[in-house]
Amino acid sequence: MRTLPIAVALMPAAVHAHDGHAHGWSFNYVFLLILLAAAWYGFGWRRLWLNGSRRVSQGASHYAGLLVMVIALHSPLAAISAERVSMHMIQHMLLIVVAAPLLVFASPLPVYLWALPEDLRHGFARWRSRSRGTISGWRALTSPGAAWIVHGIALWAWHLPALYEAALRDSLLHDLEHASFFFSALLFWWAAWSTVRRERGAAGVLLMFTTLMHSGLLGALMTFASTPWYGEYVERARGLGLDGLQDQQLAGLLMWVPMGATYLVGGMLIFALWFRELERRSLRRI
Amino acid sequence: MNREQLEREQERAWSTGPGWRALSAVNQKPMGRRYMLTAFVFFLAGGLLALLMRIQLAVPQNDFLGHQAYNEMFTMHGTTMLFLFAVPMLEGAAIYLLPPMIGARDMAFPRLGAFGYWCYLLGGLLLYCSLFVGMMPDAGWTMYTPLSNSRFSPGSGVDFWLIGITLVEIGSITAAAEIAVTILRCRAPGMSLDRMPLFAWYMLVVAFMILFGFPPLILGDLLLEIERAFDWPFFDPERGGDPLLWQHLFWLFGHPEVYIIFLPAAGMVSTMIATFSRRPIAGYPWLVAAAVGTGFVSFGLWAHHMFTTGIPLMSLSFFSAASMTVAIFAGIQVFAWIATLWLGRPVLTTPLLFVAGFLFLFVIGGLTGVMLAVIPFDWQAHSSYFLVSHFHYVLFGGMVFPLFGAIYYWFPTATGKLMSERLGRWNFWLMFAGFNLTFLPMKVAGMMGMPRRIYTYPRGMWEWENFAATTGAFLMAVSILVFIANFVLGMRNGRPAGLNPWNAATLEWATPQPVPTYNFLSLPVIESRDPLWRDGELATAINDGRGLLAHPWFGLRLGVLTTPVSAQLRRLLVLPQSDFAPLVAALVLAAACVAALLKHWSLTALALAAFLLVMLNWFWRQPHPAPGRAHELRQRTGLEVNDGPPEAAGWWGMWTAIGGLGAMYASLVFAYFYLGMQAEDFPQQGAPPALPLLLAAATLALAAGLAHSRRAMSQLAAGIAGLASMGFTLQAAFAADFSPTETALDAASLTLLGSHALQAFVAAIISLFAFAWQRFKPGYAPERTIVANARAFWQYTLITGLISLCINHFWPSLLS
Repeated sequence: MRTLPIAVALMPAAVHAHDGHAHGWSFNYVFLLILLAAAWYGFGWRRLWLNGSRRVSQGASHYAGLLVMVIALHSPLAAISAERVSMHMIQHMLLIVVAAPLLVFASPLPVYLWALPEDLRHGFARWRSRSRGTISGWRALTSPGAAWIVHGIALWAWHLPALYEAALRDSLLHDLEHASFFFSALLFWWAAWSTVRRERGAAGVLLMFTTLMHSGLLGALMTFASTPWYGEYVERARGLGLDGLQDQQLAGLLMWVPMGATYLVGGMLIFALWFRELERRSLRRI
Repeated sequence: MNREQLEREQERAWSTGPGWRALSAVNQKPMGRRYMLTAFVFFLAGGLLALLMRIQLAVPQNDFLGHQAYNEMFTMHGTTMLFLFAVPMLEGAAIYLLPPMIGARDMAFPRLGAFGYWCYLLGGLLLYCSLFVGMMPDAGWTMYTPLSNSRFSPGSGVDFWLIGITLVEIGSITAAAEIAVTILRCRAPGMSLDRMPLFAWYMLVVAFMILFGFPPLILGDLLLEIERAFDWPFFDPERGGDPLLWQHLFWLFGHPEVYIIFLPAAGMVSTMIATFSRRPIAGYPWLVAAAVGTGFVSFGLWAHHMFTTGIPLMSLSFFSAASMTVAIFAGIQVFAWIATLWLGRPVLTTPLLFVAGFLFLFVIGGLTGVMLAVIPFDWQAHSSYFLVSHFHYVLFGGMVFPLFGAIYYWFPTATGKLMSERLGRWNFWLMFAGFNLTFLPMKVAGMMGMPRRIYTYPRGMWEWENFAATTGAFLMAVSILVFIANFVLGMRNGRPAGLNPWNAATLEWATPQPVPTYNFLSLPVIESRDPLWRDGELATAINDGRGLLAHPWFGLRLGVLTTPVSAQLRRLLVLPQSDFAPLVAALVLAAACVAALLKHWSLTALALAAFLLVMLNWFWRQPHPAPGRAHELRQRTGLEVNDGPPEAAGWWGMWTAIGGLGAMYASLVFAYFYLGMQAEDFPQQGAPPALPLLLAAATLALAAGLAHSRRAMSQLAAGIAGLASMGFTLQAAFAADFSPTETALDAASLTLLGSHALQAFVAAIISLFAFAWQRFKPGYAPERTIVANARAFWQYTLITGLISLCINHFWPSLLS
């Protein structure tokens, strides 16, 4: 198979150094934020543990999510992603369809709250119950339709060459790109996930299906483009002796197929949980 | 009133007058039967074409048919079987079976269903009219460009195909919308989703697949017809088009289509296997999940039909791997069926015989599918008779065998009689032997290199394989004749079926056979997955009129609306009486199609305007009773009449329609960007000036905002603003410096603008209609639904409209 060596060449397991730049780990303020989240969560988790409430699988999921974020943003992967569209795609996919669902599955908000001192916690609860505006605002933002639109816009907009290349040149914009991918994905997975709890699993399944479709169409466009979209990368790839168009095709295919597969898995999982809940309720009704 | 009186009253409420009035029928019994009968006639026609082809191929160097006739036959054979037989037959079966199965009296939108049927019939007839003017389409059922463009297919055969099939597809989509809403909203109280018959689950998935899968093909048809009629080069590589775009749009539809055909049959199989194994189906949740999963996956795999088209090498490995996931979901289903047979005490009746044949053939078809997903093999076997054999095993084995079993199984619901088992066995074994004799040698011929679509072949090659295939085809023809004989004899003097002849668990067997037009004298309340097995009293309760709504108050056709998930009783559904509007609307639409075929554009416009008027008249005559009558109904039945979101069926129908339109719009945007990706300079020069675009966007936003209000005057203003948005969009399109006959991208840009103009027009009409309703029929029941629908349609128009308007003007600045 001729494609296999190409794919292998584009997905280096071993990290090469080139042009004198070492592809090592790199840390910045984002890493501090992740550390802070880890510590905060650990604190709340310990308190809940002492109270007798155990959330081992959720805790594991939360830390796995944070670990994936660290790998995406600070490992050598981050450095290589500056040179290849396909690696950059993997980095984004780690944030969007791995870290975000892991964090949402952990439903970390109560744990974060428990880390707060008691009076602050009560104050928050009082404020939340009193201010109707925040509740309805939050409801509107996490409603399936809104989350779907926000995440869809983030996905498509950042792939426009002008925005994508601007983010490559400016590190602050780049952080903004990652932040909007990550937070809109959090919102999206949160909205989809909570449809199960709100007994609207069908909406969650539809959310997953339509996102599979539109991200797949974007991936298809990327795969079938006859010229590379991002001029910056063509030059960088040429420096490595790679074909920029093939690199982009790989990126498009990664978005089309493996990323689509995660939406399939997510959709099936939501469906299964929702259906199990339906069966339970039916049993109760007889 | 006693039972006999009630039965008479219901019969009167649900009957359609005699003679020519039969054409005004809209309820599911006659419509479902007509669908299936029409589809069966097309099946015979398609089969006849296949026989003629087989005669031609029986011996080498045959001159029974010329190459032209042969091309026309295989084009019409594929087209007939896929578009005019398989999908309509299954939709007809769903329309016929679903209401009695889920405890309803009719579909949610009977008039729409009737309209869909007439569109299908007229579209099919239009396609076959090409036979009489001597211009049958001859470019294959896939209509690949450039073969199908005006240079290589200059006659109007392809136009017949594109326009006729579009009309048929409109019918399919309306039926799908109707099926989806019926399953979600019209189930008997208590039949929560987890208690729903598996056939309904499968049809629910299929309805959504049709809703999202058929629009890309309609778009492709329209673009190709525009290319042929007006020379806009969407698929012409010399002017920036791309023939592969057709293949993308076609297979974006075509891949789901395979499962759209297979899944309903799988639903029938699940039903029959449970009945004849005399136990509940094993792994019900797994089957449901597999159906949903198949629906999901089928939309991600279209590229595996294009392995040999020169798409990037790297994509092949991805799609080869992804194709294997289909085997997971198919495997789950096959094992669940085998497990049910294993755990039960099967009775080998004719229907189960057909199911067994299906299992055998479908597994062979599935395994050859896995072989074809392996790229090196596909490169060898593609476009050979191996492929022809593969898809006949999947489609004939996967759909026709279960269908014949299903006809034997459900025959009593229509006639009250049973078909002969002895003839049934002859039918099955002839068909099974004939099928394998036809298609197994084809695999060998394919392996030996026989390409598909050839009209003859040299001596000394593939001779015995082809002769065997022809013999097998005639055996199958004999089996069909046996079937027809059995059917007619069964209708004439079949053994009386009595109550529930197979001892089945589903509701269509609760009533006297044949099932009465109104399905249930009174509506049941459901408490389990297999109601007739669990609740011995249910049938008598239904038939004695002890359930819901035994009385047809005021001679109305009454049903109920329940919640979509847990099926709690919510509203009274007043169903429409017989009505000629669906037939008239379909006739007018077909007239527009014929005018377009003759390239008589002013006549087309006239017919479309007439269509709009017919539709307005249709919507003006809602089945809902006047306010006073509605009040009385409420007092007698204790149920509110269907109105307003989230309860109204019409509101659900609107969102389903928006889903289908959204799929079509997404395909158009995909086509635009796809052409852009191939273009020399993207974005192109000549974008329309900003001012009219801004005005169009502003009036659009204004209209969408105004439509949000429930006041009548706001709807009027929204309608006017919408018309203004349409006007500014057209102005922008004319001011743009595009040359749509020169480059494909310019043509796509103008198509996007045109699509917004059209959509703003439709939205404006809806708003004006809402205004008129509020002004002249205040207080009439669907008022709130009509206003809510106008609002919903404007929300959708706002989102797509902003994209259409921005795409030409603001895209350049983001690209540079």
